[in-house]
Amino acid sequence: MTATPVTAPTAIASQGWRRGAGPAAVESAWRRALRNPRVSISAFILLLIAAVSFGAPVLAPYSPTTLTDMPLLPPSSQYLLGTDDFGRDALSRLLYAGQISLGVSIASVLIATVIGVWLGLLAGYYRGWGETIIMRAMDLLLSFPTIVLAIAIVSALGISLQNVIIVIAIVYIPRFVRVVFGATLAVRQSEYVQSARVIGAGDGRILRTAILPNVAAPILVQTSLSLGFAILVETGLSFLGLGAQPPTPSWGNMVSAARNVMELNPWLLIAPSAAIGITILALNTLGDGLRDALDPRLRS
Amino acid sequence: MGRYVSRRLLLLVVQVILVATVVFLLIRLVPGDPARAILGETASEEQVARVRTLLGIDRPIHEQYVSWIGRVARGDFGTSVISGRPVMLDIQQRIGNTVELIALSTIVSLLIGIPLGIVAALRANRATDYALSSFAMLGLSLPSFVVGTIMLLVFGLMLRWLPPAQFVPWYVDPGQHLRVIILPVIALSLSSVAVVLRMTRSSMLEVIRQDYIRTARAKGLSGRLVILRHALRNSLNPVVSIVGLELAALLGGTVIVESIFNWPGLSSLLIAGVRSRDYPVVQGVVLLIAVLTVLINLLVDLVYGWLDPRISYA
Repeated sequence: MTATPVTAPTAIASQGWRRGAGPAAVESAWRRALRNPRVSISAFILLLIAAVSFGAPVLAPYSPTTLTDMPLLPPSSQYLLGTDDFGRDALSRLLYAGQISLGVSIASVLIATVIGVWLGLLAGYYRGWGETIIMRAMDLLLSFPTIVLAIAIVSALGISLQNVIIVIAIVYIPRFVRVVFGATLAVRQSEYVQSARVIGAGDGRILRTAILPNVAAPILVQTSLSLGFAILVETGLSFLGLGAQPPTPSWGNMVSAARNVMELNPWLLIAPSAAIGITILALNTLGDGLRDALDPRLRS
Repeated sequence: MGRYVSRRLLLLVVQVILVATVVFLLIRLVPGDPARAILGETASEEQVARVRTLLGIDRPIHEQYVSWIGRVARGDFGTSVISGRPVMLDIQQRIGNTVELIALSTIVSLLIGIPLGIVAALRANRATDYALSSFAMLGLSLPSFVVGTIMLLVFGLMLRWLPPAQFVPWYVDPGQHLRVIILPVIALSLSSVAVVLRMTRSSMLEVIRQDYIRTARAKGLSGRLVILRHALRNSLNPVVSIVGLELAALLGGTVIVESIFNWPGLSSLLIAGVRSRDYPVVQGVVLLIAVLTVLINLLVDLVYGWLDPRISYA
């Protein structure tokens, strides 16, 4: 007999993710969420921003770091956003900066998701002293304001892009642990987990096949919202000079660099500001839409 | 409630010790020798040895830990490696400026967020509500450094309505002080206004659907009275808990806002400390901010319980 009974939580899924929502529920929720025009537009905008950022090597008209012309030229057909105070093409820098800002945020949220999900699963499934240690450690991390904790760790590890990724991951692990811990507690006594145990599935198998798919929905929502926050932290650190180091462009250090010359070419400030605002707005709208679609109690 | 408070206070001591432990371990994260990291490759061995003594890292780790906790308990945060001044002295000179920003921003976010949230709830799913909700979403999505920098460009440089970022102490020129604090407060409070607005709206929507509100209306009370006397009081509890979280967020937000507007608060101290690898300064400021956050959370829990008698202290 194969383990098919273990992956049959769809009946429970329709009751919403607090009680456990399986992959099928996540899929139908995606479809439900995408029917909401605000969500589909946000998803489209995000794909577009990701495409132009990661396509920068092909799309950018100039190199982001070489001095191509006179400094502070106004926008023209040759330089759509003008040139910055070093005479570099602002549009090319904006595209490459997106690669850094999005790349750092995606990498750090991925790390936070993987570590946070497993810690949350272990704490919620095994309970006991493991739960106490993990959850109290997370409370401790949460007692520091996000950006202050990030700055503190950067100051110790040293300023580099790799360290920024590590820092943002550490800062966001507790959020994933909490979400997954709560969801795991809710499903660990459910009938399908019990029946999986009865047919002899080991703990690892139960965690992977019975519990993880059923806590997938809140993880998805948390990932979408965390990406927005991660961009906030990454751009904030770069703005303060603690993230991507010049000449490497990042949306945050572009805003910071524009401060001294913004009267001469306001686009140097407006373009990266808009990129940051639109990306976070789209991620927040997407996260809100997914949450509404996945949590039936909030659906109107 | 007395027993609950004393238990929470005991817990507070444990929390503060744990937070101090994390901050202590921070300097251990530094790859290699922290003293060498501060001074750079060119420094002589004697200089490095002197800084190691100053940081206390020449002693065994358990000794360092006991002495760190002991000093922190007495309010001694050590001496800056760069300026040689006690860290506590620098903190005392600057903390007032940071607290002023946070206090004003909290007041602004409540005074604007709560009324707008009520209006959004009363006009739910109509144009006003959509406009306010979009504003809130925008407020949550625009980082303070973006809002602050754009305001500096528009109001400071282009329109010249407000002075550009130049701090003036209140005792030198109170009027000018008020003028320079406007932009930082707006930049800092925008996201809190958004959070308070959203929370008030959803909590108000939940309350006005309750039976007792219908009863109050049925017995002929005017709409405004029902909202102000019956609905508002009960819908504010979740807002109080969110204000606590927001205070902690504002504390973090000042780090960025202060650096945009050259505001001489704790943040400029922290950022300068990070740049020059002045670990005692970084540790002192981070510890202080974390302890304040823990205190704020305790205070909010107590106020929350006092406002809502249904919350048990068991």
